[in-house]
Amino acid sequence: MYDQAQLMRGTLEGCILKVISLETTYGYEIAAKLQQYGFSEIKEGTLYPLLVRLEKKQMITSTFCPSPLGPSRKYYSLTLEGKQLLKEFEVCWKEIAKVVNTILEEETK
Amino acid sequence: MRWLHNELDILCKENKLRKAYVSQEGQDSITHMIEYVGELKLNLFELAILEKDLIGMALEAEHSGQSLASRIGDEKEFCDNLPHGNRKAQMGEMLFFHLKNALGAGAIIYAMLYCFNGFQAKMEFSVSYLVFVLCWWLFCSVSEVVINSVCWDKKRRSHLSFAVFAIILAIWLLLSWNTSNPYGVLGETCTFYTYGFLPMTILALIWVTMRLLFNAYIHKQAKGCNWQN
Repeated sequence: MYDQAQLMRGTLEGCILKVISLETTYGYEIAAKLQQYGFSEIKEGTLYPLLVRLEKKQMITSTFCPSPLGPSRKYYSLTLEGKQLLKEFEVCWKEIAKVVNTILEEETK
Repeated sequence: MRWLHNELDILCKENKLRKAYVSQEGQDSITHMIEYVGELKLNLFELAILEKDLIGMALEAEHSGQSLASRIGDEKEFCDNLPHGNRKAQMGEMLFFHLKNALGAGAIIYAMLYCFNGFQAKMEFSVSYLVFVLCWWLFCSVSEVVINSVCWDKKRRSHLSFAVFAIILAIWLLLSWNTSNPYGVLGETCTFYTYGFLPMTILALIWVTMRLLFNAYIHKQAKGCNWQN
C-alpha cells in the first residue's frame, strides 16, 4: 500500500508556513486547520517538532500570549526568511504538481 | 542574591507551579518525556521550554475535556522527532553539573571533617579521605540509574557517573594497596597540612565563579528564545 504519510511529510512544512502566513496562530489551531484541509492524520504532536525546527531555522517566531481558556499559548508568526521560504515552496510545488499531473494524465490517456 | 539566579531557574519555577494544575496522568507523561529527551537531545534551557510547551498543551487539552496523549499521539515518536540540540553545549552542561556535584560533595565532606576536628587552625589531610568521594560518586551513579530506569530505551542510560566511580575506585585501590597500613601505601606520605578555612574559601570561590559562568551561558541562550509570557 502506498505510504501517504511520507508524501505528506515533505509538503507539511510548506503548508504550515502558509497557514501561519494567513494569521498569527498557535499549534492546536494549525493542526485543526490542516485537518480541515484534508491532512486528517495531523495532530499537534506531529506539528510541534516541525515548528521547533522552523523556529530554529528562524523561519517563524513565537510569543506566549494568554488564551481565553486560561493557560498561555505559544503563537507563531512568519519572519522575513519564512515568507521567502514560503514563496520558494509555492513555486517549487506548482512546478512539481504540474510535472506529476502531466505524467499521470499521460498514463491515463 | 539575584545575581545567583538565571532565566532557567525562573522558567523551572514557573513550570513547577503550572504543572501542578495538570492531571496526574498528564504530569507523569510530561516527566517521562522530559527525562527521555534530556538523555540525548536537548540542552537544559531547550528542555525547560519544551516542558513549558507540553504543560501548555496538557492544560489546554484538559480544559477542553481531552488528554495530552490525544493531542500528541505516541510519546516516544513525538520525542524521537524532536530536533537535536547542540551536542557541544550538552557536553559542557554535563561537565558543569558533575563538577558542581563534586564541589558540593567536597565542601560537605570538608565541613564535616573541620567540624569533627574541633575547628582547628590547621587541618591534616590524608589520601584515605578519598573513601568519602568514592561513596558520593556511588550515590550519584545509583541515583542516576534509578532516575533513568523510567525511560523507554534503557540502553540510553548515561554511564558517565559509573565511569567516574570506577576511576575513583581504581585510584583508591591503587593508593590503598597495603594491608598492613590502614591509610594505604601512600596514605602517610600524602598527608599534608593547611589552614582550616583555606580549602573552604577556595571551594566557595570556585563554586561562585562556576555559577556566574553558568548564568552567563543561560542568559546567552535565553536571549535567542521567546520564553516569557
